[in-house]
Amino acid sequence: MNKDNIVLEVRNLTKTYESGKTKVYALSDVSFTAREGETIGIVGESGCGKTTLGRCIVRGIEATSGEVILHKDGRQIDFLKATKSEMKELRPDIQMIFQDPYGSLDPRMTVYDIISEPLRYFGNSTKDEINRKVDAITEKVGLDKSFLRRYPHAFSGGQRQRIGIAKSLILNPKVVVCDEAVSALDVSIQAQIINLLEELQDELGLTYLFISHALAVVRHISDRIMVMYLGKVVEFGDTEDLFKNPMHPYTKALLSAAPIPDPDYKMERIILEGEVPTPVNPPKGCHFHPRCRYATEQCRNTYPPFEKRNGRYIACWNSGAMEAE
Amino acid sequence: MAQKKKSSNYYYASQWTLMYAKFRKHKLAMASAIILIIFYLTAIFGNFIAPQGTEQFDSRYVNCGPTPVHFFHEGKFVGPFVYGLQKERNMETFMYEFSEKSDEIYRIRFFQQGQRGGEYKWLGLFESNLHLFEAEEGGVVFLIGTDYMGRDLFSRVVLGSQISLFIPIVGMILTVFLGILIGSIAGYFGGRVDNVIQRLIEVVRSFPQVPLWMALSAAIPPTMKPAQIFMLMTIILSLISWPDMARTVRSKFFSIKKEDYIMSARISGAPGSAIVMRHMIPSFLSYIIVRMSLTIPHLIVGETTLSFLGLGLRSPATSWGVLLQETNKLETIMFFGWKLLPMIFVFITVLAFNFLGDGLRDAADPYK
Amino acid sequence: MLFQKKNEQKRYSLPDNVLLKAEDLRVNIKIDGAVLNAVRGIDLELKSCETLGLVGESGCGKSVTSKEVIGINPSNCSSTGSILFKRKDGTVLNLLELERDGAEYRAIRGNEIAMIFQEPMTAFSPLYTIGNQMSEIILIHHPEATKKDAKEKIIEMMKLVGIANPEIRFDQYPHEFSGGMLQRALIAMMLSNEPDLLIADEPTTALDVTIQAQILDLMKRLQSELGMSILFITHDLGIVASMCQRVAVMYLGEIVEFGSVRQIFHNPKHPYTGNLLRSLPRIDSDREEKLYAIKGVVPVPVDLPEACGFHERCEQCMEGICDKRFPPVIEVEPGHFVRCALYGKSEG
Repeated sequence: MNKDNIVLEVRNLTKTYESGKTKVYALSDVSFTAREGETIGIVGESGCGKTTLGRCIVRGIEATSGEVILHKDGRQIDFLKATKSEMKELRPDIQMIFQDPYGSLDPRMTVYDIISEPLRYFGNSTKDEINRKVDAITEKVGLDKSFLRRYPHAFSGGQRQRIGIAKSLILNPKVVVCDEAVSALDVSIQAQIINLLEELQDELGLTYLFISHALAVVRHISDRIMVMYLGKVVEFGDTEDLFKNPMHPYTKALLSAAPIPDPDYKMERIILEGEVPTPVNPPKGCHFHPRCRYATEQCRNTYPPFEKRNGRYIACWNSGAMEAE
Repeated sequence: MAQKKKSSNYYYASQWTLMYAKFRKHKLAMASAIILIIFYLTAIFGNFIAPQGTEQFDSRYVNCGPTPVHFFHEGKFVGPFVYGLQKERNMETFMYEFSEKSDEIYRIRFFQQGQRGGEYKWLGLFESNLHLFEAEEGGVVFLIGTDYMGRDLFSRVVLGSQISLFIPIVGMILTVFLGILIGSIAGYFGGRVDNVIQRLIEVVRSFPQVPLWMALSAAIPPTMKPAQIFMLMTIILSLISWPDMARTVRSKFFSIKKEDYIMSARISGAPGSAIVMRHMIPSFLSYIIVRMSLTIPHLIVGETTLSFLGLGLRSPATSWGVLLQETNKLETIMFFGWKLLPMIFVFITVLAFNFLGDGLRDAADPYK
Repeated sequence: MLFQKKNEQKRYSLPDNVLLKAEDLRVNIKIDGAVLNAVRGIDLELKSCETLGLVGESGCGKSVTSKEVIGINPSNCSSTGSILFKRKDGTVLNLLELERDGAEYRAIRGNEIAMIFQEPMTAFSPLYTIGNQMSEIILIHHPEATKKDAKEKIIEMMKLVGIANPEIRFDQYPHEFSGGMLQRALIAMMLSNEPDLLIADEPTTALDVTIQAQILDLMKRLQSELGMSILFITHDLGIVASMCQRVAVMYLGEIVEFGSVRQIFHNPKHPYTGNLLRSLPRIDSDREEKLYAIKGVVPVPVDLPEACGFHERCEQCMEGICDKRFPPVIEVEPGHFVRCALYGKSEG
């Protein structure tokens, strides 16, 4: 594994929905690259497009425009425009782990059938091979073999999430989109699953796109973090750096709003005014300006460019001024 | 330990096992299921159970009330028997009335080669003259009386159920087929196709049902054979009752499409056909079964209504609706109350199907 | 009979600064022939004007406890023990003795004990305007009030909770409100009769982080302005740390640890509390290599043995002690109670 190898490149990914005459940008113009073995955390509040981004990348829903380039054996192939035969080859490389361990497993199938389902559609494995693969992956995710004949309703949330992970990993993916993969779990179980995901990453060299609203979890697991607001990336940088010194005013407010489990922790909390606007009718100019205390005339009129500044990507007219403050 | 064992069975239980376990808890539905099984078995063995065939009549016993079955004669046990009947004219109403002659005893014999009851071909295969019960030579047993031609009503109810209970099943299959087909098309493709089908459903649903039945039935030439008439009636009934099923299927398609496990299957690389066949159809199969059990009583009532109005089958072909046809005159009900008894069978059957559907509906989602 | 009941009620008393006290509260839930021991003998004390956090993972019984206080558990729940509550007029009642739908309980509910929920969207009917529904709570408990009085009071409350343009908002329907605004409206409605006790059952779990911060801020401010007690039910230890004065940690229907927020967070005594805190990813410290994870899963609370509920997952479990009997509640330092056999060994 080489941490400098790029495995995934997302270019100008956009998803719009049309309802009547209005065009709603659920995701607009998102670009980034992901390297082998790293975790990119994607954070933001409801409606910011982080789930849409994940689903577009795995082609769970079709993006309106943009490219998702997979780097494979020196080739670069656009996953979104892949032909049927290319899909057969590429599909296993990008997989997804879902949020709701109750909704993402078909209740009518045994655990064995669920985990082995992807193998039915790829690589004409024999029955023995399938059995071997299923056994290997169940052991890896910490499930007992005796569970394989059971149905999902026999399991608790944490165990179901392990089943979901086993299913996602059985095709040996390179990139795994984790969509709120631990958000529905209790704290003590959440820690088990986070550790499992990290162990699997080290062992298999996976690249995670870790989508979550839980900032502490994202901080723990991610190498780099992307902050989204209303379908756009507002800040993207190294985790430690970003948490210690958030530059975008939205990132600042978001980080300060997270409750800290320490009664003596004193942090100036930035309470944002107003609500998260919906993408149906985004504000003109910078989408964040109605809630931003630094907003200027420029912010109200034009959306700031997404630029590299001090080793970090940021979309804000004022970040320079704020640093001086 | 017993608890442990029970719960581990639960872990291995498939959807159908869970559904059955839940269904069994619904006492009313279980009882209904048993009643319906009895009714259907009765219909299948109808020629054997009915003492008379559909075409046999006896002008001596026209409009005869139910003959009670006795067990004791003057305090002594003699087993099941009927008294002989005496026919007298009531001088007030000028109608014949029957009364029991307490000195004539006719035992009821079981598994007899029928004398009054005719020969029949069971399931159209085996010729036989075996009947479940019959009175001794000279006596007659009419469990729920006779009609204006002296035909045994019980026999006619039993033989009529062959049509009244089975036609709806054929109709149901047709309804379900049309419903699933059209509903799936609407649900799978969505968009414009869905829009057109939705409007079509609304149009079909907005026809007033009874007049439409009547119009369609009137178009059936009366010269047709009964079997052909059944078939046409079934088709007519199904053509009107598919929209409900189509709606259910369509809305299920839409709601299941949004489930994460469908997305998960897609990301696993499942082709569209596999998603539909492996995940979508099984997930609403249980609902379809519920709808099926509720469609049948609807069709039973439909058939009964049509025949009652004289638009469906006609004598001597027998169905429950045909039997009730006679009761559309007030004096029939006044003087020959027993002629309403076939209605009880319609009533019980429809009720039982509804309870069954209720129990199935409760059981259909065992994960809640 | 009536006379007797009155006599009984007089027996109860509570110290001056205590508003609510539960003793040996047990709640069983009957489901499909099995009995879930949802709450297994808890003691709880809530002082006037304090915020008490009831924290634990799903299925620990925290919600059932809070619903028992306000008397809205479904009919398949049965409870024993006592919940003493001091009414506004100073009389002390055992809430468990009241008839669930009796006049007395109804007079308390919404008037002296109020509750806000996790999903503010489902707390309002979509068919009536917000103002209409908010006024109802006033009209029910103050039959002498006119609709105009109620409207005035509600608009005042809406201003208090920071809803802009309350006169316009009053006539709007729930779908015209965002989640955060609805939670504000719900809080305004629930506080309009100035209850002594507000039960907040995961009030911000369905909200976004920035909106959650707004609501928590609002609740703090309202408490200092109106002076009510809050029973705050949550699974989020971060919220507990910033909102509560005292904390009760629940596990499997028991309160395993009870104390001030500093005692719980800085000096956790019960292995469960300590491990729970260690298993949290932290936003305020550098990235750790690996999270501490409590092994195993929470057992299903059916036919539980007479033993510490945590013993199967506890690293300090003492064989023959923890799995054999209920540990007693020990006061390890003033006001800090622990239910664990590791402490108070010297006595036995």
